[in-house]
Amino acid sequence: MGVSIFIQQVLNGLTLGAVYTLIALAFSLVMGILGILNLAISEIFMIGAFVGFSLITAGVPVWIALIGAMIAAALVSIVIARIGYEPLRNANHITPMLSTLGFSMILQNLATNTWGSDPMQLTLEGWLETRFSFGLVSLSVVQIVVFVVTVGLCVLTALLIQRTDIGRALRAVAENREISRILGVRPRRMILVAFALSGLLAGAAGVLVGLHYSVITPYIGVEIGLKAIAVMIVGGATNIWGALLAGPLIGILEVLTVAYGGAAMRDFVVYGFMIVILLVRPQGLLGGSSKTSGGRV
Amino acid sequence: MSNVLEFRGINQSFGGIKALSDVSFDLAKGSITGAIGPNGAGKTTIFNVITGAYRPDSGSVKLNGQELLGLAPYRIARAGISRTFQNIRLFPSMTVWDHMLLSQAPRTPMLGRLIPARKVTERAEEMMELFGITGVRDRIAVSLPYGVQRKVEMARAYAMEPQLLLLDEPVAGMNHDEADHLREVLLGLRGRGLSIFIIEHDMRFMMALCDEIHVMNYGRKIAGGKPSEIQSDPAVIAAYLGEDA
Amino acid sequence: MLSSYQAGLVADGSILLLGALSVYVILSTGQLSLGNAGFMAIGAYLSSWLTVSVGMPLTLAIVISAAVSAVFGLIIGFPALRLKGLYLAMATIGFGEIVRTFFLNFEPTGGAGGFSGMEHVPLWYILGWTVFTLGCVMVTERTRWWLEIRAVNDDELAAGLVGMNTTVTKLMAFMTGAAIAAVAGALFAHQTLYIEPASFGFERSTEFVLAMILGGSSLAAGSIVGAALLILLPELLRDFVDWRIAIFGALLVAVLLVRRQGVLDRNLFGLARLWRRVN
Repeated sequence: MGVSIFIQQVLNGLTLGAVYTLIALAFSLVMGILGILNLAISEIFMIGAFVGFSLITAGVPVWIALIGAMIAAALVSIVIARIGYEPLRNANHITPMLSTLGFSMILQNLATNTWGSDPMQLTLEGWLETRFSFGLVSLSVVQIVVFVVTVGLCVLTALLIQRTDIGRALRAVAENREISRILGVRPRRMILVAFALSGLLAGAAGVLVGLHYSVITPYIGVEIGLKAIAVMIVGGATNIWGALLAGPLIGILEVLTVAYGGAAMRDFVVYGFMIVILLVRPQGLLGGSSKTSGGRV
Repeated sequence: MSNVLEFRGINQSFGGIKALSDVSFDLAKGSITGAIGPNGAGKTTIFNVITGAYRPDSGSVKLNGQELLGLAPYRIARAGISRTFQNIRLFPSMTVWDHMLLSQAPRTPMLGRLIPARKVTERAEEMMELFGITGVRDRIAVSLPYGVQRKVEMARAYAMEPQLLLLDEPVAGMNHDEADHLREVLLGLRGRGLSIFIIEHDMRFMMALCDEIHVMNYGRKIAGGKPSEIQSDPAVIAAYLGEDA
Repeated sequence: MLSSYQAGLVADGSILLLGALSVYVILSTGQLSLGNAGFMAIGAYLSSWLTVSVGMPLTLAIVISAAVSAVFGLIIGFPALRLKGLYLAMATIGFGEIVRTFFLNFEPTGGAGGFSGMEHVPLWYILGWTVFTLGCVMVTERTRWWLEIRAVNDDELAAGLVGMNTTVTKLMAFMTGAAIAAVAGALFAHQTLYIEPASFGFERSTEFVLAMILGGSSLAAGSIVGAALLILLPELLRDFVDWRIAIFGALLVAVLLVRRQGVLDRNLFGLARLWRRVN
């Protein structure tokens, strides 16, 4: 009995962790390549959730809704890059972060005015409703969708960054913007690529969260999105793969805290974990030397 | 004559590259000493070791007999060593006057820093007079010409009432007249009992100013002595002066 | 006389001003805190508990809350010595969230249900604290203490080499900011008479930052302009009340793009001084 509840919790934790992984990856793509914290990612994620929700409610197949939400989120992200980041890219790191904070306010307000601030409920139909039971442990189709989409997107991102010319150019910009320019990379274009990629991932995470909880509000950006910053830090902010480890880790940690410590304790544990990591190992679990994490800021 | 600074057996390496190999020298109290050598010879590294920015692998640095290694940079500064930088580091938001006040703050008690005492403002005026920057008192320091900024940086360093002043390429960016004026100023400071240690490429300036010169090459000290001795030292001519000729 | 509605606006503005000031003091050393709502929560809860449950006079309760909050500022300030820029900002977000969830779970002060029973303070009392605190910061700005704070912001390494203990300066700034935020929290609690953890979330922290950046981040007087803007603008733009947050967001972006130093800045005052000298 106790074991199967535990396994169930771990499965639920992995689902949540998958969502965290995607958002944290979105954060660390911009952080790792451009060295800035794009606070608006948490709201882009929320916008993605609402666009996906609206499309599904309108009868669009889930896969298409997912892609639609990703594209919408990427477009928002590109607008932010153009207006909120590019003109400020030579300022100190705090200034562009503040401008992305301005955009998060705009996006949240936009969402409350467009979709209302009451929770929006999604009723899943057909195959999405199915649950598989293994004794006392059950796994829903939605959870499987979350896992598959997350793993798929992570693999695609990895391939893009490691194997393609765009990925090489991104890494060159991350290493040294001036030298990359000499090597023929156009940093301005790479800024847009990084923001767009990060928007795609955040948008996908939004749809997945909507499917998983089947309820969303305009405040999930602050509730869930901000926690992805903790995930990024725990994994290592300048190593974008840190999120793959830290996402599931924190997802499980959070769900177990809810199960055994009370629902209200969850944020306490997650942010406490983040602060401990910042103090003990500021470069994160998978980060490089502490020197690189210091050099970025 | 006693020594203000004893720099003994310093080894400093960065990831396998030896920046300083067993470098030793003494600075006599009330003297002007120079360090010359090609770029990358380790001169600025010596400054960084003295001021506590680097922790050397071995050796000892003593100011008037007090060990400096292991002290935080601000403690070394308070012990009586101040410096300027090769690429000037002034505070971008501050006027010249602010710099003069700020550099005296650490030596004043906490409450005394609320309102500058007359002693402090008088010294600030005196510093600006000494380095000829009184006319730019209320200008933002970093908006001034390069040569003037160097003077502000030196005035800031000297306002701290140091026992030893470290100057990293002070005449870079100055014309002949300014350099000559600076030499007079520095000789005047020596007259007041200050010890000065200078890194500089301008040989004409150094030969006429220094009491003693140490020559660095590839992280080693290859010669040291009076300017006239240095000029005729075969190792120096081969390693350094020879390259110029 | 002010109507009670207007008095409420002035009180809100004063509290917001103090919040902006708490961010300003810390930012002056080059550190951005996105968690000052946490210090505000400490001040609000502690002072309310002291006045309601212990029966302490409010002024004493505020002083004690500010001191306790300063100790927390010291604790959160220590990581600040190792963390720079964005990492510090993220750590302070975490701190703010931890404080909020602490009070969410802490039943002695009501947990999620909130805490009440405070007595309403008159407007002059709030204004008194605001003027006093703002005055202290503005006077300090004219001393060499403040030069040290600016030196840490300008070039920490060079500040160390002119003999400044930059560690102490940064910690002092954090403690001062924490204390000011606690005063804001205490006044807020005794003005609204009901506090709950949700009042001290991330949005509150960002509101402080917003007021400070809009008003002018290079001098304390900027917080007056910032707080006034944030309070008055919604009054002037009643027709767009639904878009209030978005307008502020757009204003923030616009200020960063066009006039990064905010509405007021140090040079504006410098010009005024020059003008006086010329005449």
